[in-house]
Formats: sequence, C-alpha cells, structure tokens
Amino acid sequence: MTDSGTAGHRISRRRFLATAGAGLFAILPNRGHAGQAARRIGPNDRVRVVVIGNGGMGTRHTEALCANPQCELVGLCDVAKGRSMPLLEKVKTWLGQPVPVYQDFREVLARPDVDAVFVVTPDHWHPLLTIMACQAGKDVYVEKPVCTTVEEGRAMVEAARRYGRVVQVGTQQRSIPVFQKAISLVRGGRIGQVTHATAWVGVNGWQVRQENYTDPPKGLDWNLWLGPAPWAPFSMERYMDWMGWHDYARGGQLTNWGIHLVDVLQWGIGQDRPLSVQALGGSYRGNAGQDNYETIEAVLEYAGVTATWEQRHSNTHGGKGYGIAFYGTDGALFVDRGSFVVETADGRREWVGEPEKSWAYPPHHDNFFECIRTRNRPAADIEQGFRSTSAVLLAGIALKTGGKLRWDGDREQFIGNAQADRLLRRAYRAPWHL
Amino acid sequence: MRKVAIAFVAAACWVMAAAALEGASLPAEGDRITVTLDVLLDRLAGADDQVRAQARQIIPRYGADAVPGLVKLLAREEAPVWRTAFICLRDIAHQPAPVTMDQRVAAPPRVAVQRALAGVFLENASEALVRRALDLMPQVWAEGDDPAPVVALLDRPELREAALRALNETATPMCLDAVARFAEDTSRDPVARREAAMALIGLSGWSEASARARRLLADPDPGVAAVGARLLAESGEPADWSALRSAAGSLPPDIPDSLRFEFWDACLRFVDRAARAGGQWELAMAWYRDILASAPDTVTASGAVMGLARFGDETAVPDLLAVLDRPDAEQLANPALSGLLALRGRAAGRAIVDRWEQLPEDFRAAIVEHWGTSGGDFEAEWANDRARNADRPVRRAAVRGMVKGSRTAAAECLAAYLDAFPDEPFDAWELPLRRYAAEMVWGDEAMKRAAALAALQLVRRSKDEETVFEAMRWLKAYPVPEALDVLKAEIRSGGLSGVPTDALAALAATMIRDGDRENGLALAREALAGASPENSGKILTALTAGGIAPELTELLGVIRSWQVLGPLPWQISAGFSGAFAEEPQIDFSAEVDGSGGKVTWKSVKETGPLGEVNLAGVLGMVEGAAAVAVCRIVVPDPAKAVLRCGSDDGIKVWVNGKAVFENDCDRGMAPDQDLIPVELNAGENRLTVVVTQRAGGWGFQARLTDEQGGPLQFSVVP
Ligand SMILES: NC(=O)c1ccc[n+]([C@@H]2O[C@H](COP(=O)([O-])OP(=O)(O)OC[C@H]3O[C@@H](n4cnc5c(N)ncnc54)[C@H](O)[C@@H]3O)[C@@H](O)[C@H]2O)c1
Repeated sequence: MTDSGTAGHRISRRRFLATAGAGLFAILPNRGHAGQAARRIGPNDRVRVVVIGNGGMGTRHTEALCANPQCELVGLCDVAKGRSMPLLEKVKTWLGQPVPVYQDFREVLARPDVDAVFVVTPDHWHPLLTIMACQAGKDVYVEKPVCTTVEEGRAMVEAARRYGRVVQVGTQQRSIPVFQKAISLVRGGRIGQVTHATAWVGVNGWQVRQENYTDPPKGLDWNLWLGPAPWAPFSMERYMDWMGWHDYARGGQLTNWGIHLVDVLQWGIGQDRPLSVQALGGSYRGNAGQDNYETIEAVLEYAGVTATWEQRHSNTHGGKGYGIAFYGTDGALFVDRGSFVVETADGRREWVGEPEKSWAYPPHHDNFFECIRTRNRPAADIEQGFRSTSAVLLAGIALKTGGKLRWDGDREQFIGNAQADRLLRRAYRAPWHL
Repeated sequence: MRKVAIAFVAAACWVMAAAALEGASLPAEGDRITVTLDVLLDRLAGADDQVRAQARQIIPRYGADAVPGLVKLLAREEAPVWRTAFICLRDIAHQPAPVTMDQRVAAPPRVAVQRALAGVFLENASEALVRRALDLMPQVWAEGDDPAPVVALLDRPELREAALRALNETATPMCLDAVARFAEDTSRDPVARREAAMALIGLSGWSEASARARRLLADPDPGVAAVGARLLAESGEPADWSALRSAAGSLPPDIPDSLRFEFWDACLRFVDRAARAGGQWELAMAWYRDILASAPDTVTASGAVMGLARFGDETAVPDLLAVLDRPDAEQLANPALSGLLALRGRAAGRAIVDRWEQLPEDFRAAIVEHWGTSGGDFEAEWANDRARNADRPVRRAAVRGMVKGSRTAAAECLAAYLDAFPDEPFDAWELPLRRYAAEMVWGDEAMKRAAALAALQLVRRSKDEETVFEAMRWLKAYPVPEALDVLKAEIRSGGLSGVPTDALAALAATMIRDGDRENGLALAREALAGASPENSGKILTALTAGGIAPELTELLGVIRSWQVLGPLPWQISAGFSGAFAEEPQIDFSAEVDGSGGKVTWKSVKETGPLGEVNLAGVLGMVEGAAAVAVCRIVVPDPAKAVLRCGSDDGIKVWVNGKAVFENDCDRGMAPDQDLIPVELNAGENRLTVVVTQRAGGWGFQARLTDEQGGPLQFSVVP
C-alpha cells in the first residue's frame, strides 16, 4: 500500500506540483543518453565506473572499487548530496584525488567515457536504472534484489540482451568460496538426493514507522529519490527505513536477505522456477498494519524438492542465525557466509570459510570486470538474479493473496489466478516507464 | 447458521489468544458472548497494538460481513488503524468463493469489497480514503466491474497519478480504454495526456493496444507520440513497421536526444518482437540491417547488431564483423563480440571459424570460452581443439570454458594445459574444477572418469584441506589409472574404505592388460588384501573381465587341477542325504556305474581363469546327475583358510573325509558364491567335492585363501 492522505502530504504535494511546471518537455520520458555505447576495454585499460547510490552499501562498493586495480572510479552519484559528499571525502583519501559528483544519474549515463555503473540505490530504482544504463550503452552491476516485480525483472533481462550489455547482480555468494564448496558437495551427491531445502533468517524487522513529515533536507532531490514509485511526502523515516515500505522494497527481510539465501538454495537444487508457492505470516506482537509480516513461513515447491523460507524470532537453525540447509537422503548440509556443516552417517564435519570481509566482495567485482572484457555471462548474471528475486517476490505475493499459487515459470504468470497476476507488475509514475 | 458458526470460531480463537496474552488469568465467561464482529472492529480501531494484531487475524474470517466496518476504519486518520483495515480488506478480497457441493457458485467476498470501494469513489469521500481505495482497486476490480468512478478522478489533478496507477495495475479493457481516451483527447492539458499515455505502457495483452498505439503515434505532441511508438513496439505486426520507422526517421532536429532515443528503442523492440514471433524472420533481419545503417547513435546500432545476432543465422556474421571497420568501431566492438557469442547454430559457428584468423585475439579467446561453456556440438568441438592447440591465452580461455560448460574432455585438456604451463597459478582453477567434478560425477562412465581426473588435479595441486578431502572421495568413487600413485598411498594409509573394490579391481585389470603388469598386480594384491570377503567376488568378476594374468591366478589361490568322476546317478529328491551322505569312495583306478553306463576318473587341468570347471564339457550334457571332484592340497603348516566356491547346481565339500559344507540348490555359477572356513593339516589334505546337476549348465569353481581373503601359500599335487 502507498502512504498518503495526511495534512503534511497535501501541502508538500501542492508545492511539488507548482514547481514541476508544464513546459513543452515536462513529463517526457527522459532516459539520459550518452549517444554512444561504452568503448571496448583494452588489455591495459581500467574499467571506468561510477557508483550510483552512495548510502551504506554504495560506500562499501566505493571503498572496494578504489582499491581494485582493474577499475577506475570516475564519479559518485546520489540524489542526496548529504550522502555523496561525505563519501567524496573518503574517496579523496583512498584515491588521493576527488572525482566528479552527480545528483542526477542521467548526467552519469550521458557521460560517454563511463564504461559501467554500480546501481546501489533502494530497490525500487534497480530495474529502471539498470535498463536505462543498458540503454545508455553501459555495463551494470546491480544490487539485489534486482526488482520489485516480475515484469520489471524480465524487462531488465531483455534490456541487457537487447543492447548486448553485461549485467552482474550483487548476489556475491556466487563468488564466495564457502558457498561454491558447499554447493559442489550438494550437487556432487555428498548428502544423497536432496528432497528438502530451507533458508531462514531472524524476524522481519523492517517496518513502516510513524512518520514526521518535513521538507526534504537541503541537497536531496526527493522527487528523484521517489522516481517511479508513487508520489509521497518526505519524511526521514521513509528515507532511512525505505525497506519497510512495499513501494520501495517488496518484503523487508523477505526480499533483503531472502534473495541472497534463496539464490543459494536454488543454486544448490539446480532449479530456478518453483512450481507453486504458498505462505503464511503475521505481525503478532502488534504492528498489525505492516505489509512486512514479522513472522513468515513460505513453502516453495520445486520438481522433486520442497523448500521453505522461514522468518521468526530466535531463529538459529543448525546453530546459525541465518543460512541455508539442504536435506538429502544421506545427510544434511548447512551453510552461511562463515562456514558449512555436513552431517552424514559418517559424522559431522564443519568447514570454516574465509572470514566475511565486505559485502562488496572483490572477487565478485573482478568477475564483473572480467566479463566486461570477455562479454561472457558473469557469475551472477541478471537472468539468474532475476529468477532468484522472483522466488521471494512470489512468496510475498502469496502472503498477500493467501492460498496456493501455481507458477508457470516459463510464461512467468500464475496458473489460473488473474487476481494474483496483477501483483506481478506495477505502475510507474510518469515520466518514468520501463 | 454460517454467521453464528464463524462468530463462534472467532470467539474461541479470541478466547485462546486472550488467555495466552494474559497468561494465568482465564477469560471471563462474558467474553464468549460479547466478542462479536463489532467488538473486534472496535479492538482493531483501539489504542492497544497487541489487541489490534489479534483482531486483524480474526476479522477477515467474517468475509463480506466485515467489509462495511473495515471501509469505515480505512478512512481513519491513525496509520495503524487504517493500515490494518487495509490489510484485512485485501485479505478478504482474495478469499475464494465459498465452496458448496451443489455446484451453486456463491459470490466471492471480493464482490462486497468492490461494491464498498465503488461507493467510496462515488460519494465524494475524503482524499485520503479515496487514495487508499485506489490502492486496493487492482486487487478488487474484475473484468466486468465498471471503472467509471475512478476514471472520473483523472480530472482531479491531485488524484490523477494515483488513479492512473490504479487503472494501469487493474488493466481491464475498460480501464485501459478509458485511459487511452483521456490520452487521445487533444483538448486536454498535454502534460496530463502524456501521463495518461505512459500509463498504457507494458499492457500488450490488450486487444485494442495496436489500434490505440497507432493513434497515439500520430499525435501532434511529441511526448504522446513517443509513447505511441513505444506501445506500437509491443505489437510487432509488419503492417505497423513503416509508420513506426518513418516516425523515428523524421523527427525534428531540435527534439531532445533522449526523446529521439525512445523512438529508436521502440523500433528495436518492435523488430525483436517480430523476430521472436517467427513467420516474418526475413523482414525482421532486413529491418535490423536498416536500423544498423541509419541509427543515430551507437547504442541504437548496438541493439541492431544484437538483434541480428540473437535472432539471426550465419548470414549475420559478415554484418557483425563489418562493424569493426566502421569509424565508430570502438563503441560497436562490445556488441559485435556479444553478438558473435549470441549467435546460434552450426552454420553460424562455421562462418565464424572460417574467419577465425581475422578476429582479434581477445575475440577469439572470448568466443572459445563461451563456446566451451555453452556452444553446440560444432562450437564445443572447436573449443576442444583450441584447448589443445591454440596459443596460451586462447588455449586457457578454451579450457576455462570447457570446465564451466562441464565438457567431458575438459579435465584432460586442463591437465595437459597445466603440464604445459607449470607457472600457471592453480588458485583460479580450484573452485571451477570442484564444481566441474561435482556435476560430472553423476554422469556416464566417460563423465565419471572426467570427474575423477578433475579430482586428481585437485588432490595433487590444491592446498585446501577440505578440497583435497572431497576430491579424494570423488577419486575413490572412480579410481582411474592416472591416479595410481595417489590411490596406492591411500591404500597404504588404510584409506581404501571409500573405494568400490570392483572399481579398483577393474583398474588393476586394465593396467595389467595395458602392459603395466607390475603396478596392476600390486594394486590387485592390495585390493584383495583389503577387500571384505563379500567383495572379493566382485573383484574377481572385474579382474576376469579385464583378463586375469597367470601371476594373479596364483595370487588368488585358484585350484586348477582335479580328478573328476561322473556323471553318477542322482535324484533331486535325494539331495545330499542319499548316495552322497558320506564322502564317496576315492579309487582313481576304479570303473563305476554312471548314470549312462560305466565311468572312470578323468584328470582336469584346463579351467577358467578363476578355476571354473565346465563339467558339462568334461562329462557331457546330462540331467539329474552328480559328479565327484578330488584334489590334494599341500600346506607347510597347519592353517585356517577359506575355500571359496561357486557351483551350478548344488555343492557338498569334504576335507580329509570330514563334511564341511553342503548347499543343495538350483543356481547358475558365479565366482565365490560360498565361503567355507576350513582347517588344513600340515602336509597333504584331501579335498572332495560333489556337484549336482539338475538341468542346464553344470560346473564348479574353487579357490583357497587365507581367512581375510588374502593369498595362502599352498600347492596342489596331481
Ligand atoms: N549485496 C549485499 O550484501 C547488500 C548489502 C547491503 C545492501 N544491499 C543493497 O544495496 C542497496 C542499497 O542499500 P543501502 O543500505 O546502501 O541503502 P541506503 O538507503 O543506505 O542508500 C541508498 C542510497 O541511494 C540513494 N538514491 C536513491 N535513489 C537514487 C537515484 N535515483 N540516484 C542516485 N542515488 C539514489 C539514496 O539517496 C541513498 O543514499 C539495496 O538495494 C540493498 O538491498 C546489498
């Protein structure tokens, strides 16, 4: 649900409409356009990147990119100067020099010398920024979850393929050895035939909080922050805690952690389209008006495998506060970013991975840069990131519709449920469109 | 009746929830009566969050009955209240129609929500309530429900965005028709028309879409026309091409680049759709070439290059390579390469290979990597060839691709590559190779062998303990000759348990057959020494299949010379209780009454590799008979041993006149079917065997080992 109708809302909306103007080119589709596709990277060239979205995760990426000899940071971009400016200060110390800072990403896309962008904004901007970057001839690293609806995700894949761009998704587990090892065991039959898998995390803490409407802080282009999402008045709660609102992220922890973990789950079972999905949940301790239910149990049916997504209090399944477990005919395997545990008839073994460093995982960046050169599909290609995102989106839809939803993963529609199908797409606020 | 039942269930739930909430204090009897829908709605609207949470869970169970009360709460100012009412209404809108067994279809609760919301739109409700109702609309409006009250809101600027969103997401033909009408109405504000037009994007399933798109494309407003182009792109009907293409080609020069791009992007989408739809493939290819030739920028040209590649065939290869000679080649090189990778089919692969030497080296490397990963037979074969013969960068890329693509030959290619370039760091290969082995280990024999070869590389080169551990498991599952040193070390350290003994024996046999006698024999000896008694039969079968060497016969304790007498009269009904209750008399010079006349003892020295004696061959094909076989075993010291026999059919054994075993059965022969513990005296021992014949084949086999199945020192005297 969108949030609206308070006094504060009406006032600031009128102000917005008054300033928006109605000139000849107002509310025109405007994608920002370099007029030329990114160059081919020579063997001695570094990939020129700009990080779009300079909040928590954008800062992590920027730090890792500044240290990476394969690339050259050539700009920062955030609708909030209050975010990009402090990061710029850090960049100056990391690189010994400043880089240009942009508030409107369309200026970044219009720069012909930029080879690739990192999209590290809130989720509601991921699809369009990715598509527009492809349409500006640039390669893209986009954070997870890649989309908020299935239709958007498909459009992202199409844009990548239509313009021949490399799109890597921030599901860095695909490049982390502990997961690669664990998955090779699951796929190699160490625990026999896997018939059940589960992914879990603690309670869904992302909530819509009581808002205090104010004018946006200086240097924040709130209209651009909202972008394709419904217009809403500014509040610091919304800006900071956007993951609680379904207009910006479809499920809080369900899509935030869910995509990471369900991605690994689907990787392990070698399937990326559930046959059916059902889900139950609620916010039983109060906060009944939340779209993000605190407690969730979703069941995804795959060929030969039942999978669950579990969110609850005190969730330390297999000794791990979050993770994925595979259950097979000959044993079980638990994995998280730190280690994996194999339990088979011949005993229990725990293998520790590398200590988790940064979510901006350099080998995952390297894989992206390498694929920019070879044009091969990256480790977390957009199609795969989209399929993993859709699994959790489907669970979120099932929470709203109730009942068992049968999924046609080829046509990307529910079977015999037009009402649920409507939740597979969303309207965009003009002038933004897919 | 129904209402009462639900109220009761709800009340019961409430009672339980309340009990849980208040811990020890039990619900007052009064609660049972007073908790009605009205009370629950009050609780939902109250100040207590926890109580609201419980009401939220129960109210949707009232279905349509709860709708009027919930819609009232939807208008409330307090966010927790209206939001909770919103969620309850959404729940109700998704409830299925009540199921009856008489095929009467009752209205789903959604209908009640729809009517209540239509009322909200009509009755001039507060803006806040209207917005919330608009947000619910897509979950509530069915095809036949009239959207007119929402369409009317398009005239209210402050609600237009929300109304357009609701109509777009509801997307019934009636909704879309109304939005299109609004967008087409040139008497309206152009900005509002653009907004409305954009709300039609993405709704290609609508049968009217193309007709409306054509109208919008012709609109005097460039913003509306751009949306028209975009909508028309979703039609892909050939008849629409010229209108779309000429609109893109005849834009005024002062139009912003980004808007111009909308038209060209629409052209690409249009052709993609046409190409995908099939039936107009040649047209689509011609259209891509046209776009490539006249695109205003290299991004649009990239789209045309990719279109030719994604949907095209070998005829696209020259187009793709030609872009490398254009002045804007630097920008088109990425799509050209991406395009070469995207091309499918043998003929396209061949067309690329025909121009191989014209390609830059980085292209060649990228192509073989991609072909190794996901090419068809022809492409994979080329990658395989390059993985053995190309210069290092291309060779490396080809091997990488083959590993990624789980090609059977990849493990071998990698081994050769690593041997050829000892300075190659192994780190980058380690995880891909693990993945490879894990995928291959499930395949046919050739794939299993590849998995083992990959595992062998990991065992030899990885520094990661866990990786070596797993790789060793895979290697043991399919021991390959290349791994002999590793396996022998493993055997010596007592780590044989994971190795299937038959696999190990097959390996030993292969080595012996291939001329590596010494190692093969050593391996077989170690395998036999370590094998459990039950497994030795499997080992023998495998060794036999490999063609057992004479040296092994000795090692295995095969008994190859017998004195045989038969066929003697025998009846199934008698088993071993009649004539053969006691050890037969042994007199090698005697002439005895056989089942078909007089018989005498014959000496047998020709046996199969495991000592198989074909009695039917030696004594003739008979039915209902028995034969006696005798040999003398000499051991230096008293010994406990195991006599391992196979027989067709039943068998009885005496050692030094004492019966040690009998099995009156009807079976075919396999090595080591019966394991018979025996005690031997120092010096000579007499071994007497009776083998019965029911029908069909007739024979037996025997060998003598120590108690563990290992070699026993003995000789057979004639
Ligand atoms: N891969 C991981 O492990 C991982 C970890 C954390 C976050 N993430 C993802 O990263 C994304 C960002 O998360 P965060 O925690 O950094 O959020 P955040 O709110 O801290 O930062 C987002 C930033 O994007 C800016 N922004 C919004 N719209 C923009 C636009 N159109 N152009 C430029 N800037 C824009 C905001 O002003 C804000 O500064 C999320 O999608 C999240 O899921 C991934």
